[in-house]
Amino acid sequence: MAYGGSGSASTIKQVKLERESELRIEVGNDAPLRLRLLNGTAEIFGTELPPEIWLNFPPRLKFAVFTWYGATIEMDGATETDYTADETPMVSYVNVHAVLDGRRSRAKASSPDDSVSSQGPRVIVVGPTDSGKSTLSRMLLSWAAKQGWKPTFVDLDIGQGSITIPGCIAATPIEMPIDPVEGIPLEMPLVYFYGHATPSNNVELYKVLVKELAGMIERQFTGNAESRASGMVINTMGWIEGVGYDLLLHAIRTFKANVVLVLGQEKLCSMLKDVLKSEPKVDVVKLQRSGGVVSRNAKVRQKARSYRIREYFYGLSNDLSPHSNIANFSDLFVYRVGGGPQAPRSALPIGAEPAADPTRVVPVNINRDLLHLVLAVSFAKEPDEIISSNVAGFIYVTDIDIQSSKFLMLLEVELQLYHVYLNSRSGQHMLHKTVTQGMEHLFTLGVDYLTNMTRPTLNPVSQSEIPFSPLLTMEMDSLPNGNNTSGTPISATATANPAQPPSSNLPQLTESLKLEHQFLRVPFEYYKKTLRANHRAVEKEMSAVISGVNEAAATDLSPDDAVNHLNSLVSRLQGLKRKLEEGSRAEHLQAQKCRVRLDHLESADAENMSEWNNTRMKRILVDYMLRMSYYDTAVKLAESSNLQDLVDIDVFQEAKKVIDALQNKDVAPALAWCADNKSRLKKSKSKLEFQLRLQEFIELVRAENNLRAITYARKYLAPWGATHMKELQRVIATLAFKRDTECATYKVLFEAKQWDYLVDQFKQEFCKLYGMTLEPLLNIYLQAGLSALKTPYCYEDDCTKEDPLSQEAFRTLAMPLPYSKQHHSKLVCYITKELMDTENPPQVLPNGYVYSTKALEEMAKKNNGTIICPRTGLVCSYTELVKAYIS
Amino acid sequence: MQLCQSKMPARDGVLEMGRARSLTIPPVDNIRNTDINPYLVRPTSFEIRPSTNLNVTRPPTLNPITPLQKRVRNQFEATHTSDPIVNHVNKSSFMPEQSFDRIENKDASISKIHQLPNQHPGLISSNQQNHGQAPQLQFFPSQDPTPSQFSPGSSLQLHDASISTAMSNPLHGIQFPSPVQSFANNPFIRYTSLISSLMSQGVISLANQLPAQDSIGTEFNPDILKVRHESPANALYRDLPRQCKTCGLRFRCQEKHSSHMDWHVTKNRMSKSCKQKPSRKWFASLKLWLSGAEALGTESVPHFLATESIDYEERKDHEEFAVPTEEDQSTCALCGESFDEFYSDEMEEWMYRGAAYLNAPARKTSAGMDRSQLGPIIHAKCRSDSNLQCANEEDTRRKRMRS
Repeated sequence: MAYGGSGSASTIKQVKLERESELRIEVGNDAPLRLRLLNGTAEIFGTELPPEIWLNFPPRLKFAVFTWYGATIEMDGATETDYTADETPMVSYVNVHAVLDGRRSRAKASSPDDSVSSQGPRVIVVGPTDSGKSTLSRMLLSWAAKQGWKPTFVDLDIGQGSITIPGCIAATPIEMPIDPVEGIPLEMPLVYFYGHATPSNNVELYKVLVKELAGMIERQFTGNAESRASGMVINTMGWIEGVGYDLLLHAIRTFKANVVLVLGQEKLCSMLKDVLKSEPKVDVVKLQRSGGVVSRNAKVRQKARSYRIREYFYGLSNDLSPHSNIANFSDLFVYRVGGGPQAPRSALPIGAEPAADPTRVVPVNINRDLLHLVLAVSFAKEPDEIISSNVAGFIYVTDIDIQSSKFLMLLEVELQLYHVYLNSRSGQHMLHKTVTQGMEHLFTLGVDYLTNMTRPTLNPVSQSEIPFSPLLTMEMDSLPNGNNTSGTPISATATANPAQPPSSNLPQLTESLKLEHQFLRVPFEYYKKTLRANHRAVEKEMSAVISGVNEAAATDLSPDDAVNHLNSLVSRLQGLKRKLEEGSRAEHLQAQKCRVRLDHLESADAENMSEWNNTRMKRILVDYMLRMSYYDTAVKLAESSNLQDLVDIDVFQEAKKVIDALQNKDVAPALAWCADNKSRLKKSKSKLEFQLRLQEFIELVRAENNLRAITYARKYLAPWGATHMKELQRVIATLAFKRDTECATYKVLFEAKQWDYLVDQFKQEFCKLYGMTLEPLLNIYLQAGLSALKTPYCYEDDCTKEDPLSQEAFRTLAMPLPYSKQHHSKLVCYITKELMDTENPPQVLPNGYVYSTKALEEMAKKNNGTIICPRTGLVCSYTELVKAYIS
Repeated sequence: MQLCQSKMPARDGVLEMGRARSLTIPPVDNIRNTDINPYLVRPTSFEIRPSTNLNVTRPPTLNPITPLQKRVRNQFEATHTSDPIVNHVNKSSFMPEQSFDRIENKDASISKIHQLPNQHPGLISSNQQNHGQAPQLQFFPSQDPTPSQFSPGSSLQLHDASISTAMSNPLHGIQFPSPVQSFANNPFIRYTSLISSLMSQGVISLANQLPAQDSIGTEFNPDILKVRHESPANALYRDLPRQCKTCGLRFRCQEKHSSHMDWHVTKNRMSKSCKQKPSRKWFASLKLWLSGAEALGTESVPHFLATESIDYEERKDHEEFAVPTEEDQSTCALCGESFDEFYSDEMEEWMYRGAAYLNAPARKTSAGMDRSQLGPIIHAKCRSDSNLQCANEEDTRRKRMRS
């Protein structure tokens, strides 16, 4: 029974499949489809679905879910079409697989020395377009891989590009069933670039490449008995008449196929049987075409090619990030295979042959014609090796700049872009080395796109997808010049002169490093915590396993029970193994972080002091932001300056969760953190857990849930009574006073600020546990500098604006600091605010006020020799002034 | 008949069966002579002969033959794809059908049934004696009287033959209380022993059984390809009982399943470690591809850290006396000096260094004793110095208890 269900329903839909029936689905054009197996067993093109796990199918995908024993399928999302079919050729397909499996077993049982009998089946799937050749190939490959074989998949269909992109023939080993969503894995392919979507453009080149591919597979089979016994599955094009038929015979003979599967074509099957009758041991098997195969016109096929090329660079679900790079014309060599466009035969004299050699390699002048073309990167060392060499990857040309002789291209590997921007000369050198290492020669798909198919219209690369870290690095490099000037006042020795000779920097550095205790202590504490956790896990599991073994030895178990018992022990040990592997990696990362910081401290010397101070400045800022809960900003700064290993973001992320919960009046994460660090909190005699329990008790009293509060107190607060009795009694008394009491002693316990107090307490304990300073590093450094600037004058109203202590924030920071020591007094003129010294001596007016000489001379010039005191208004003559001397 | 005898020296293994089959054919020989020669000339396997024989004897009745062949094939499939126990059951269930078919036959079936007792004495004697020559010699006397029993004639002669056969049974010492039941059981036992005998002699090898196990075979037969067989689908599903719940992959044994789970862990770890989107890698070079490098590189198992050296500090702490701190006593009950507090990582408690309970046994664990029985906390060195003081305190307690 087949029923059509084309609709745009977006609700979850269940389909119950009977035995040997198939659910055929075309995903919609706009949104992906989610599908899962509820019960029973089912497969997609030979790959079994996992039970109850949702799979995401991208738009426009067409597939079928088949079941041998019955299944229930659940779908979530819109489909273009989905219907169930109960008549499929799957029975004959799987029977073919069974015969192939028998031949593989027979080959494996043969002696490896016998190259004929130890050869597995060499299958070639032929048939017209849209007959399901690719699907049948996938099924045969997946079923073989499911039973432990490793067949080689050969894709000769240059119009589809099952393995890489259209325009290529390729081969790859299949070791696992093919993923129903991702398709053929691209892990170990052997790729030859043809450059066209149909072989009619250059039949000779196609034959040469097919021969090369077959030769390499033969060599691989010779050296790999497992691959040879597994055999191969060859997918072909749908062109089966005329030259296409000749190419088909060429492929069958070149690959020495001994099993020819003909899909849905009586004529082709009959012709092949006649031709191959004389071939020894070649089976030609006619198979029925599946009714679920979707017909595609040329336009759909062309569009699929474009999608396939884009999928290569960006991934099926945009999970890949191609790299963009600029290359000079002189660094790349571009070739075309097959010469220029051939003159038609009608333009030549009768009987004359075209002069162009179809396999000739011709250099290409780089010009705008290469724009938006896909170039293949060849492994060839010389131009004449191009057609016999496989390719390393592909390049898509996004822009060409003729004037500066550069063109921008998408690559799939990361080049060292850093060097390009920092130093153009060495950058070019590095780029040249990197480029020539991987791709000494290119040849183009280009001209043929112009003549035969639409250009692949890749989406323009968005800015966020191109890595700009070199630019960011350059931008950050310009900042230190500005930061250095402001960095001087906050150094430990504020009076140090930046212009001092470099040799005197070492004592300064030694003093400065004394403040880096936290820098080394925090990752070490984190490392120790991980070590203890891993050790505890080992102890727990090993004791459980040992007790299990002792228990098994003590009691007389039946053989089956003993086997089950041992299997469970083995499972536990394997789980422990995986856990320890994770733990080992974590330990390695943390040890690495400790090492990075030691190296960073060691790297500080006179030559890179400026850079080192700049990095330290950023570290201090990140530390300050993390403590002030500005996590996102801290992460951004750390990422942009590449400081991940030098700052403690991971540690503070751990604290963030607890602090967020406490601010939401939730003590559970904090209590969990206390439980994790119980031993060390007890060592430091911490009261944090007690205070958290008290607060939870208060909340129960606030909710007037007195019975639960009493139960809670008996369970969680009683153990603390021995050490904190007075505080405990005070809190328990809230049961009598209730939440709306006016008694000040108990009213304060119900205030919301108690939670802020808990947050502060947690921060203190957290910093103490990890060996951090209680104050942010920024404050400590600022206070070190401010201690040299603090004077009683700073706190008066007429403090000068240039003084940092004229601002309230700095005054607060400097409050607990002592006044700086002044060896000599300083006199400042009231009028000009300048220092009065020997060059500018003070002068005394008749009324006793003192001003600087320069100010008084200036005033006398303006007032014809008379002086007006700015504070008392006294008028006198300049000659009446008396000079004062500073001792 | 002479042709059969002339072939005896050439085929030692098939000799016995050849004789048995040739003896059953004489009644047919009288009707069609041409059928015998092609049958004898064709070298076929042991299992196929019964069906061929049936075809030869009953060409007109084609309809009954087809279900029988299907049944035979089903039996073969079930036999080779199921457990040995089921195999046994199938074999035992196979014989009644065969005997039932023979009962249906009129003249030929009657003669066949009566021939079975004659064959089995020979088999028994061949099993009892290990000599190669002796079984054959023993077999000859049992064969010699047979031709005289099958003299051409009317049905009355056949009845006489059956009577004479029944009379000859006591001579061999074999008793059949229930003829039908004994026929059903006895041939199966003899059949098994015959197979084992032939295998021990090396006539039949294990290789011959391998093609028979696979019902599909290794050739593309259009008729076989069109029919659903359970073995291909079972080989992909039910014969692989263990399944990965993450990706649906199936396994036969636990080792591969475990390594696959490890592979998942590795894959997840790699995907987690990549914070930004990865890029495609360059393809493998030809040299690497030809070397057949594994597509999924296996990570080397990290070596566990070397055994840590023994912590000497912990030893010292363990040897020294220490008791957990208590809030209401911070000085020694004897000398009055304050205790030195330290945190024991092993015990996860703050402890008094060098302290012990007054009434605790020396150098023994105090587990099990109640806190009130231990008495006050003292320095360990103070206790060892003054036995007299302990005696005095005990006297004091006795006085208090009296009052």
